[in-house]
Amino acid sequence: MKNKILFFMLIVTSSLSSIADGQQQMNIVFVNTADNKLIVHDSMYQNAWGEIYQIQKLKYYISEVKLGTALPGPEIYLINAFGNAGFTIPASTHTIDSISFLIGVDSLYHVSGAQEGSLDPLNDMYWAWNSGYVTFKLEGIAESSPAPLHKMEQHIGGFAGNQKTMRRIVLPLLNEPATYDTIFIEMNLDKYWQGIHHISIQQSPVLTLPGKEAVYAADNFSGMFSIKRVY
Amino acid sequence: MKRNLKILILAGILFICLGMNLLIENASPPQPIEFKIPKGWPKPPTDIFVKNKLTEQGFQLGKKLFYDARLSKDGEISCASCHQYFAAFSTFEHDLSHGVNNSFTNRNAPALFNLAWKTSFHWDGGVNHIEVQALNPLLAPNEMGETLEGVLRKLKKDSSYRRLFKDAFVTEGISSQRMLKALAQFTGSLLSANSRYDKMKRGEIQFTAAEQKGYALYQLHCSGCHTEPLFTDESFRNNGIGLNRFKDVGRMDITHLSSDSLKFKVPSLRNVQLSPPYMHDGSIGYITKVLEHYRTGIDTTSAILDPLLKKKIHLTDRQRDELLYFLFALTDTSFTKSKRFGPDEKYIFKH
Repeated sequence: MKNKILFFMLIVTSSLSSIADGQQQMNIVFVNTADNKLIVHDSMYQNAWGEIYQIQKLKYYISEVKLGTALPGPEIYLINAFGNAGFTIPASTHTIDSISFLIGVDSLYHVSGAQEGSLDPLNDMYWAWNSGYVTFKLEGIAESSPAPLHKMEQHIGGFAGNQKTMRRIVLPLLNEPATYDTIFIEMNLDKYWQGIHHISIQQSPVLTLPGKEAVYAADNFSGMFSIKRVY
Repeated sequence: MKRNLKILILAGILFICLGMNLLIENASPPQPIEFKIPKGWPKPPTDIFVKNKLTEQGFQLGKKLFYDARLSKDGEISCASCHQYFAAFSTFEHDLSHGVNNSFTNRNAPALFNLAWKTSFHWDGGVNHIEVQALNPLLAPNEMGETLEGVLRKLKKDSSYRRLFKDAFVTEGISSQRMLKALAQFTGSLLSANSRYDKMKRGEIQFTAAEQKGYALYQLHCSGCHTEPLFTDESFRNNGIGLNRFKDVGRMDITHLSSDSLKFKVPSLRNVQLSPPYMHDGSIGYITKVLEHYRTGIDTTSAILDPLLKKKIHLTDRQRDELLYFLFALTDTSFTKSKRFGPDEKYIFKH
């Protein structure tokens, strides 16, 4: 299984843009895993509670990406486990001790009307009836789900006051000159079910509202991300 | 000689072609229009036209979209189907409105005017910006029932829309953002500020004795929520309607706070004469019955009732009628008969 992930990473690296002459760039690639497997269509995964599920959709926003002490970039990326899962940002050759980013987008974007690009409501990450972007969206099917058709939907959103679901993630990097040009970040879905809080599909099969439960789920984001490797 | 003539004709044709090309290339840039705030009115809480520059071309595109039923899934329902200009952009004499496939909405379609002053949209205030409001009726299965992809596909296919989007936004391209911004230019421009009340305020007319007395009664009993000059304070309140058959808890759906249970947005009293039935679910059919509700219909002992309504409103029948005359003085027929806001062509309302 490990080899499979490595192989995937190699393919992604070769497909991403290489460093342009004279301009340092860093490729950031999200490797989405569950149950020690790469997340792919129609595959089965098991969480810590023995619940077996399939994943049909997995998307989340990444913004304010910052390497070391550099200023965060203004770009907002929509990571799609079944689509575009990486991006390229400018980088310096100095030692980069960490990478940090926000999962979700700043509250300003939630209140400023119609947006474009990754924030276009066409991307199916916008709640119209209760204005705001979804931070993290996971959809699939699980035998243990009591919802109709055994659906499992985790739409984690909410941006105002105590409903905030955006979380800042800081991941330490090796304290050495950045000779690499790609950082692979693992998003481990196992930690979504078994993190600071315990979430089971049977108990919360469908979570599509901002509020207490969404905040609870968002608290688990911090444990889901780790540096897989640099390349 | 013949040859010369031929060359001359060819040159002429070329000249005309070039000229036409230039005309197309140099299509006039979007023409800015000013959104005038009526004298004595507060400034809107945020200027909705700062990041969405109001232009004649943008307004006209928004208007075309507003009146275009093709935007709905079955091509039968436009924004204007439920927001009818002659009813101050509410659904005339409908408690609930009709969506695609003979569906019904769960709430009464609010009248649309003076939207530039609103701090939130919908009866529950769930929508925080005028530009994103339109996503709701477009996508709701019991309203226009479309998908965003579907709407954009139809617009992109239509050469007149391709031209109008370019006219409004300079460059080619139809996007959800442009569509929503154009719609907001039209809806945000719907200004109603020319009722008898406004004329009285401007010193152009004098109120009748009954209107004057009604005005005083309004100030005593209604102005706590329906604040001048917009005649709403934009707050959410429980006015004693109670839980309806849809189990609609209003604001609580958005905030999840039990203290917001059964609270709904205070609607403006402007043009109230034209927008029956009343309340969030259209459950009160006539304006006189609304006044009766406030006079005798409320259970003032209810723990969750708005504090301002806990003190019973005492009105004699005569006073009730005087108040009614004042409410009629808030009707702005120059708004409902405005050619600028009404449909360009004869528009058939199917409901």
